[in-house]
Order: sequence, then C-alpha cells, then structure tokens
Amino acid sequence: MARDRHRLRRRETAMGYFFISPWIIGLLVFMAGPLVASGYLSLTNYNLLTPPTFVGLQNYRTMLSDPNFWQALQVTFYYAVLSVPLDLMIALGMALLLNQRVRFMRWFRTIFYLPALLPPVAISVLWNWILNPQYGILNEALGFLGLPQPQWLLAPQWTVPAYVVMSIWGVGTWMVIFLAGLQNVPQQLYEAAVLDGAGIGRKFWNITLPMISPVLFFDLVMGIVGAFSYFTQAYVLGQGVGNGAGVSNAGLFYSLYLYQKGFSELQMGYASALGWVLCFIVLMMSLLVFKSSALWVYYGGGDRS
Amino acid sequence: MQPSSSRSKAVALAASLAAAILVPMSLAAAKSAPRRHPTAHKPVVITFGSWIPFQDHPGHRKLLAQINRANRGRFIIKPVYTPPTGYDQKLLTEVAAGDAPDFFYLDYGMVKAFAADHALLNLSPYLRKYAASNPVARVKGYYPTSLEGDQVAGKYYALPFIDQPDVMYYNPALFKAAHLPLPTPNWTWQRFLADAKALTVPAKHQYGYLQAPGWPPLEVYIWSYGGHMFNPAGTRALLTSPADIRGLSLMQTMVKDKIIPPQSAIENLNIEDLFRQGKVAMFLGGANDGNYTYNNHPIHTAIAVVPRGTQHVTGNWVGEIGVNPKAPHAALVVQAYLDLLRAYAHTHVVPPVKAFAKQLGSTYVSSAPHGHIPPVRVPIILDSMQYARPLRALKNMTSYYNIETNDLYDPILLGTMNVHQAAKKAEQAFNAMLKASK
Repeated sequence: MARDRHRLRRRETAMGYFFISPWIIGLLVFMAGPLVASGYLSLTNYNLLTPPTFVGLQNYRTMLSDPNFWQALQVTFYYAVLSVPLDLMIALGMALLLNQRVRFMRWFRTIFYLPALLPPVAISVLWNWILNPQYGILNEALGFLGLPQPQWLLAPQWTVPAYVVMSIWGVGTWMVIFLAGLQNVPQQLYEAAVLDGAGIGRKFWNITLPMISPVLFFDLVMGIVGAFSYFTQAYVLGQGVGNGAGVSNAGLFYSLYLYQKGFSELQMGYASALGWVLCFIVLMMSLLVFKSSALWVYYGGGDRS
Repeated sequence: MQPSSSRSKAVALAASLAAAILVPMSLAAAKSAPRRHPTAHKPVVITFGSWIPFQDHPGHRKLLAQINRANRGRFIIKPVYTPPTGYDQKLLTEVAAGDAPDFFYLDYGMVKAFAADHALLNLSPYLRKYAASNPVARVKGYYPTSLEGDQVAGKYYALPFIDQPDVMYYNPALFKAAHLPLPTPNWTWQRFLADAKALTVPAKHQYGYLQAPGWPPLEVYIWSYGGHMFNPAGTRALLTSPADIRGLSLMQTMVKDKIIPPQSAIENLNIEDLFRQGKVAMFLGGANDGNYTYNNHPIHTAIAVVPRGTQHVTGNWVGEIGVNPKAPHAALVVQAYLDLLRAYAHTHVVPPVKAFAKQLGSTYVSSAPHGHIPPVRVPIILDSMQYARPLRALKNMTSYYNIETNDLYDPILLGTMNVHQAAKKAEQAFNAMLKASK
C-alpha cells in the first residue's frame, strides 16, 4: 500500500515536472542561460565576429576610468531622483482626484489612463515635436504664460528635465494601481476620523497614506527598476540630437550606453560587464527600499513577518 | 491496467506537444531555406543585402533582372532589404549569426573592421583572375581614393560601387533676387560667407547656408585650409593646429553671422528638404543626390564646386560591397558580385572606375531631367573628383563620429564653446581614442 502511494507520488511529481517543463525550459534557455553567458562574457573581450578571449576583470577595471560610464551613471541617477518621486506624487494626486464621486468619472479615468497605453516609441516621436524649442507646443505654452522657454534637448542642463517632463505622460499605470489601493481603504476609517474631527489633510496623512503604503512601496520599487533601465525614449529622442545620446552626452542613460557599447561598437564583453554593474545597482537600491519598508509600509494584517 | 493507460496518455500528450512545436518549426525552416546548390534545372540563389528597397526602385529591379536573365540557369541574385536606420548593427548581427547575405553593402569605414575579424572574403585572387575580362576587377582603373578603405595588408576585401563627391548646390533664383553673381569655379570661403550673408533674410526665415551636427562634414573646412584631422601615421590628432583652427572657425563664423538656421529650427528635420523648399540658398551635398525634384515636382537648382580656402578640396562618400566568406560557391558568388558592380557603374554618380566616370553624362539617374545628369553639371562633378577625399577609415568609426559630434559640432554650433576650446577638447578625446584602439 505504502509502495503504491510512493509510486503514485513519484508519478505525479514526474507529471508535474512534465507539465511545467515548457516554463522550465524557457527559463533555462531564455533567462538562466543568457544570464550565465553574460556573466562569463563580462570577463572576456568579445566582438561577436571572433571567439571571446578571457581578460579577467579588465572590463570592470576599464569602467572605472571610462568617463562615459560615469556620465551614464550620473544621468541615470539624476533622472531616477527627479522622475520617480515626481511621477509617484502626480500619479497619487490623479488617483485621489479620480477616486471622487462625480459624474462621468469612468470617462475621466479612461481619458487619464489612455496615454499610458501608447507605445513608448510613439510617445517619444510625439514628444520630440512637443519639446522642439522653436516650434514645440510646450514652449508655445510656456511663452504664452510668460515663462522662460528652455532649449530642452538642445541644452545639456535641460536634457534630463525634458525626459522627466515626458515621463509624466506615462504615470497612468501607476495611477490605476493607486486607484485600486484607494478603493480598498475601508470607508469606516474615514467615518470614524470625521467623527473625531479630522480634516482632509489629517485623513490623508493618517489613514489614506498608511493604508496604501504597500501600493506605494510596489510602485516605488517598480519605478526605481524602470528608471534604471530607461532606454526606448532615450534611444529614440537621442537620435535627433548629438550623436545618439543628446548634446554632450547629456542624455546618455545607462541602458543606452550599454546598447551603444554592445551593438554599435561591438564590445559585447564590456557591455555585459556594464549589465552586471547595472544589475548590482538595481539590486542594492531595491534592497535598500525593502529594508526601509519596515519603517513606513503598513500591512493591515499586522506585522508582515 | 490503469497506470499503463495513464502512461500511454502521457506519452501521447508528450508526442503531440513535441509535434506541435517541431512540425511548424521544420516547415518554417524548410520554407525559408534558399537553394544553395545548383541542379540541372535550378540555378543557385545568391543573396544580395542592401539598404535599397528594390520594390520601390524600378531602375534597380530592371538592372537585377538583366543580370539574372544573362545568367539564366547559373544563378539568381535575390535582393535582401535592410532599412538604412541601424543597417550597420543589423548587418553585424547577421554576420555574427552566420546568416549574412552572400554579398552586401558596407557603409564607409566598415571594411577594415570586418576584414580584421575575417568577416569578408579576400577578393585579391579573384580580382587577378577576372582583371582581363571585367573592368571592375582591375584595381588600377579606379580612382585611388575610392579604394583606400578597401585594403588591409595589401589585400582587397571590398570594392566601391559609388564614389560620390560633395558639391555645392545653390538656388539660382535666390541669387538673382539678391542681385548676386553666381558661384564661379574659383570662389573662396570668404566670398561664400559674404554671399551667404546677403542671401539670408531673417524676416522670411531664409538662410544662406545649412550646417547641422554631422553634415556638411567639418573635415572639408579643415582640409581646405591645408589641415588634417590626424598626423599621417594616424597616431595623433591635429585639431589645435593653425590650419585646423582656421577651418573650424568657418563654422563659428556661420553661427556668429547667423547665415545658418539655429539648431533648434532644424532639429528633427530633413535638412536637405529646407534647401529643396527654397528656404536655404546653398547646401553642400553629395553629387548623386541631384536635388532635381521636391515631392516629385521639378525644382531649379544648380551646382558649383566647393569653395576653397588655401586649396581646392571636397569630401566624398564611398559606398562598398563585400562578399561573405562563408557564402557557398564562392567563385559563382564573386562572378555575380562583379556582374552587379559592372551594371551599377552606369547608375551611380560617380562610378569609381575612371573609364565609366568618363561616360558620366550617359549615367542613368531616375530623378534627373530626361534620366541623365544635365551636361552643365558633368565637368563640375568630374573636377570635384580630382580632389575629393574620403574620411580616414578607422577601425572604430562610431567613436570618431561620437567625439566629432559631442566635442566639435555641438559646442561650436550651439555656441557653448569657442573654436579653440572645442578643438582642444576634441583633440584630447581623439588622442585617447587612438591610444585605446592600438
């Protein structure tokens, strides 16, 4: 009897593995394989056309004296520091507005979410025109309001801010997640707060924010990962000015530099090393956020552990 | 009984899954694989990679059809289109994957890098073999500068199909309106700057000339004052030399005198269109471009030689075709390749073989009036060929263009640095690049 049960369990295990095998094969072939390969390639000189030659940690050492590596890091950090908090605040603000009970709310929600559905390349092409210092609608609007009209992508100091302004276009996805979080906040908490004499600010600070902190945490982690792997818009907009990365490399985002090294200059070994450094940075940033979450993320069920 | 039944079900399921994956894959592979071996009735399919969409170019299609007809039963040249944007990267990826066409277009400067990595066939033995029967196989018949980028250690790894000199296009109507005499063969940059100033009418958004980062090439300005980007050995940049500074100063003057549109006005635009639309009076462009039409409507433009500084000089662009060393039937592929190059000699301005260039007036140019270059342009183009120079082919052209744009074009055209500062910065960057590529 026990033997039969054991055999049955083994067969079920085998069948289980069989049914998840497409996923396992996909993971091994398309993720684990390239991951291991890129780890090895980062220790080599490899130009795709000739076999890789082992150079040890040379690529990582080269990075330290590569001014473009530091420029790419600086641009990416600058973008992340500006765009992540700003986008989160705007997304939360929009979600709060769209959580009100007014007529045509479904229409409003759809309209505000629509830009997030557009493909990044289309958004980039559109913004290329919006940001044009001479003919762009953004500078027209700023001029109408009597505000200074920056040169945006043509001025190194305005390049990253231009990308940040453009990133606001895509906050719709975060807004929807915030909205879902807001709708899960129990109404009785607000009712109790009102009875205690709490105003709008107090309700937001003491009820809304703690209750949606897990959502905020999720959006923050995803925002950091997204900011550090920012590529499509930088690639498309970079084509128009400078030599693919804006004037004086002011739009040289880390992923763009990695792509340039790998596919324009065929330095696959160096590009792989850049990839691993990026992976390490994102991992560290995420760990930092995860560690800090104990201080500010509130899970309704009590301690997360 | 039951375990056996479930086992057979599992086996059947696995077989179905495998069949569902493998059968379509094998069918797709069988369908896409071209015929690589000649049989009694079927010719070999030879693939030709380029950035020309043959379906939109009846002239090119006709030319291929003629070659294929003449070689019926032996081979068929099949064009493979790769969009020009990112062409180099796509080609490199195909070569690396062993999936490149049998012969393919190469942008200027790619030959040396490809040859160094054994990604191009050594053509020298074939050129010796066919020299007597095909003029495109005789290297002595070429303009020498057109072959500069094709040789590595004395061996040829590609051949040019076009050697296009830069000429100065101008709009005669705008000259007439400004009461200016038309450019002459001996005009200088000083006269050019004065003309460009007179042709600039800010109120009408009309400018005398166009300069964007990367085009026209600043090397032309430097060369025309006797300067060079690098020393002859290619070990040191010379941008801070007096001749180079003088050449680069031309760009600074263009900005200062406002004879070119501000960079913000030409961002995202096809700059050559501004000339075709009559918003710019002069434009330095390739002789093959012609500028005969705009939006399929004829426009009246003329050409002149590029103005001189202390000497006559102009730039040129050499387009090349190389052969995949892994192509099966190399001898047949090379024959098809040479046939195509010979046919191309009558469709490109300028053919790199001098004997064909002499017949420039009969070269077929689809956009030109009556399909041929106007006779008045022919001597100007051929004169330009006498002193046209290609860029120095370096192993890493991407870095070269990056430095040039970031440290020369952008700061000078945007006015963020003066010429001396920009030249100093670029010289340091170029020297570092040369050191790294040793």
